[in-house]
Amino acid sequence: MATEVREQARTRDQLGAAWQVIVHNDPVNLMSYVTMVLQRVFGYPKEKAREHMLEVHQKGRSIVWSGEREKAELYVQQLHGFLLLATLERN
Amino acid sequence: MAVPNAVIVLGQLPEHLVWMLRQIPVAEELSSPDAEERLFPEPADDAELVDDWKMHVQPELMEAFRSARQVVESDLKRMVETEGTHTLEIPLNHADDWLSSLNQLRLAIASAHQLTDEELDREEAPEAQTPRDLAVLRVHFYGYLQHVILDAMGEG
Repeated sequence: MATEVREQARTRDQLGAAWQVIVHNDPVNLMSYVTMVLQRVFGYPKEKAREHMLEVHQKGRSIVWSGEREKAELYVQQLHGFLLLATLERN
Repeated sequence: MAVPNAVIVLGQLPEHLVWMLRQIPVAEELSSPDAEERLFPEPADDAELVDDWKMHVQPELMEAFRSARQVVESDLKRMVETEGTHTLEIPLNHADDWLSSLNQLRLAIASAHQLTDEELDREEAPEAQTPRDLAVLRVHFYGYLQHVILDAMGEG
């Protein structure tokens, strides 16, 4: 039984880190708007949201969240609802 | 903290700005194929997920965007004209609908007219001498309006 529990936990961990939510740069969305959206969707403090926004602006993309596929899909849906260019990718 | 019943007042609006405001929920760029591609981007490089997304998520997003534009349209109908100029009041509790509608249209214009990064980054909007200049001018004006709303929300 103990082995089975460990196996399940390991599988959950592997699945848990398997997906990334990525926000891509676009020249239209305002920086302050992107920061606000990241705060709202992920509950990030303003400073962290701003760091991601700047990474998007400077490097073209930022991994804003990693975890389970189902949750990643939900986050991408919310980001699309705010008209941000976002995708999910397997880690 | 937002003041209950607070409004953003845009006063002394001349005709050309009134025209641009009235375009927000109904502009033809909103239904261009290029705009649709940008307003409803694919969520992943995975055909099965993309098909599922188009069937289930896209209609929800479409409805949310339409609903935001309806709120903006109703606010615009309450615009008041006095001695040749107009005054528009935007209730702060409609700010999200305005931000969404302005974003929809800015993205749609940029996609439909294939505006370049340089045009979008211009410090000053151009004189509207060509349809393309007008498109750039509109993107800048709607961006300015987004800044005004974000400032009023304390997010500027």
